[in-house]
Amino acid sequence: MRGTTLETQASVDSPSVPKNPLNGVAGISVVGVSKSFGTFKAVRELNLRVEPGEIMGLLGPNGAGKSTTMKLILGVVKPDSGTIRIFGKDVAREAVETKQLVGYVPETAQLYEFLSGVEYLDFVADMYGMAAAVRKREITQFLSALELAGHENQMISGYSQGMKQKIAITAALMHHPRLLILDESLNGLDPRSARIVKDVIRSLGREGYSILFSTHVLEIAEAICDRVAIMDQGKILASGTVPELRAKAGLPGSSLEEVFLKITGTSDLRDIVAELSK
Amino acid sequence: MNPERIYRIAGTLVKSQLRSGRSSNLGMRLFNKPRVILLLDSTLFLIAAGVAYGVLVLAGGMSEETSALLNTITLQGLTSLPALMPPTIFIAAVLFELSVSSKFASSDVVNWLPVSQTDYVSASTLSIAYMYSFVVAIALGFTFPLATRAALMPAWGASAVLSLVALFATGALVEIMRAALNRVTSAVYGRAKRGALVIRLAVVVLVILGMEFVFNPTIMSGVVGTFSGAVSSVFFVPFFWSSIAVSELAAGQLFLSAAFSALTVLFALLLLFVAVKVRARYWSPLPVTVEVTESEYSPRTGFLQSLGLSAVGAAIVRKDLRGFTRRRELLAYLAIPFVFGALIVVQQLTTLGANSSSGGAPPVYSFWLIGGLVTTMIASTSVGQEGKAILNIYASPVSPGVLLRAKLFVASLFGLGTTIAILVVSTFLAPGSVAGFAVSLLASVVIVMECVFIGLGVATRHPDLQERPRPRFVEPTWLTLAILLGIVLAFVTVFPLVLWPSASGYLEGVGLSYESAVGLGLAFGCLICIIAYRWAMSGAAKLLYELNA
Repeated sequence: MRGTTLETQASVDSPSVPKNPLNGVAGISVVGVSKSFGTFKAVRELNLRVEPGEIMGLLGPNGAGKSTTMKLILGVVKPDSGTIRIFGKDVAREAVETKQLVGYVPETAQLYEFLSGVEYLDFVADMYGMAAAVRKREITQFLSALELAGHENQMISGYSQGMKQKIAITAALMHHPRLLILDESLNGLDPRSARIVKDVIRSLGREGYSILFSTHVLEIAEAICDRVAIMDQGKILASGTVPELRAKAGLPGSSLEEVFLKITGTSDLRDIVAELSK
Repeated sequence: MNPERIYRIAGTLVKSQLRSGRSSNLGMRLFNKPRVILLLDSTLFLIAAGVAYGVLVLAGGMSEETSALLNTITLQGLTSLPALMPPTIFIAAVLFELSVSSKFASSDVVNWLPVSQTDYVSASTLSIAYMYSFVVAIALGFTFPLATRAALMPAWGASAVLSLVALFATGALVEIMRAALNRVTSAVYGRAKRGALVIRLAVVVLVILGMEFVFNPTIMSGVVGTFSGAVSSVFFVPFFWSSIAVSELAAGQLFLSAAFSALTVLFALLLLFVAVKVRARYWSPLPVTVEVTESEYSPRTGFLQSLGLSAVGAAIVRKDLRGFTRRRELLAYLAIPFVFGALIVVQQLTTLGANSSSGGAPPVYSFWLIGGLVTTMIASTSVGQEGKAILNIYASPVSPGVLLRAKLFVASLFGLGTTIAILVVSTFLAPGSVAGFAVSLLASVVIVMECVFIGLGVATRHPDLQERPRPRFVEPTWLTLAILLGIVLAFVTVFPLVLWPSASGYLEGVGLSYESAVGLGLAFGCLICIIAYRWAMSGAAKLLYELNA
């Protein structure tokens, strides 16, 4: 059965959730949010809460509503109903202030391709009002760590997809946002850079950053996320820690992939595979 | 060479051209099949033929002298037609090729399909010829009734066939240029770095200026006049062979006509052969790596901020200005002020030569031409230029006011810079009073600001953020409306200046002095500025409310 709802509200007092140093103010608080595009309902009555210091994985098949959810939280798409708060600030009413707190890496890096890598980062640093000394230090460090040093003065139009993604990740991280929204941000990265980014994400989580992270690579989600929410057809079908999800799916000891397939109702793929293999 | 494959590729390339510019369902339905071009050509042929026929009917019975003159002009037209195809179509095609975004220019799927260079180049040549065939259709339609009347149908037939051959030859020439430019770009970018961007800008401006002069009526009439008599004197120029063939046919020299026709066909095939070879040797499907600077990164401290912009606004301005010098698809916009500037200066020089006594009059036309067209165009496209990367603006802490002021800065920089430069040059060429110059300057500023705000109002409400081979940046209908509105309002603003020399008596009769008339015009302009600014500001707020890209 597709779309079995195991839990629709994320647990606030889950044992894996770090202590909230902000007196209960969530990094992300999404309450009853819906969004339609014409007759298509992209997000339905969504409730989601991510604490400071928590890494929340958002999983789901293509078209599940993950990217729309992230854009709703970022404030670039407006909900039809419901409220979204980032560290207590209303995204609809304090758009500029909340964006100041967020770093966002979109599914596909949308960069100004006529700028060089370092010019683009300088542009983003200006957007967030970073001081000259800080931006120089941050940009230099990130470029070096992600092996972009030596390419920083080239126009982005000549970059590979992976290099563009590294620039987008640097742009999202360098101003030290309190909330990171990463939409399949490891796509296209080489193993070394992917490892660095994963470690940086873990480290930022420990430092108290809230992180919402979507990926199709379930091993990564299992490895770095404190909690995971599984979405399909605009709804959260289940959320919790990976062991909790295993228990809820009745699949103790199984992989997150098996849990995901069961919850999204796509576990029996044998007929499809057999048909494609003919 | 595989004719079926060539046909399929050419069809796909034409579809790509037809569909890349359509966003509405109606446009897509009307222009989704290559055969629409054939339909369009037929329609244009009939319309042009109808117009020419109508002119003949209206002219009624002509004297023998007039009739003979008309016959001579018709023959000149038929003779010059094939020779005029290459410059006309080549320059238009060059502009299109230069304006294709590098993102699309380097992603030809054909690079990894099992297609030979000959097949691809032949198909691409055919598609270019087909896309521009409307020019031939109009010319042939217009000359058809005239040729029938002058009993020049054999010459008309030859002109038609050879014009089509010339069209194909021009397509091959564009292919040669495309591959050669790819090579030159790679080589220049490898060495010249930032200088390469300046070189590219200079080339585009020169090409556009070239087009401006080629289509200058005086030069056009000179070229046509070449065919009035000794056309064979230019036999050593291959592009004239087709015209010589038509001319010899009209003169009854069938052998010479056949020989030059054969030479024309052979020349077209030679160009195709060269195009294949040049592409095989020089085409590189990989995007070129451009290093814009070699210096170590050092954060900028703000000159722009000292002009009153916020740090965020200054960053957007810096980014936009860089885009103008680096984006292939924006080069034409950057060239427009140069072209109009040159046009006005040349026109003024011509006028001065013809009538030096009229020197000193304020060049009023430059106000609404530059103010109403260039400024509105640049302002209207300023938001659409962001493309899908506008997500960066949405995701950043940018307020509508900051965005609007940044876009305002860039558009008015172009508008004011161009208008004032032309005003200064015009005044230098035809000196007038200081007071006249001051009034002109003030009017220029007011008009540019009117047009910038109107343009920004359209840019924020109707941007076209789609990324395609030839991006539009703004919905075309709204761009047209903005330009028309800009021109009308600019004209109303300078109306007292235009009207005064001829109607001063009447205006003074109703108690309106020159100063008060000018003041009224400028006050009207300022009022429009305030209204348009508010409209643009609400547009910016609406734009940033939600991402629709």
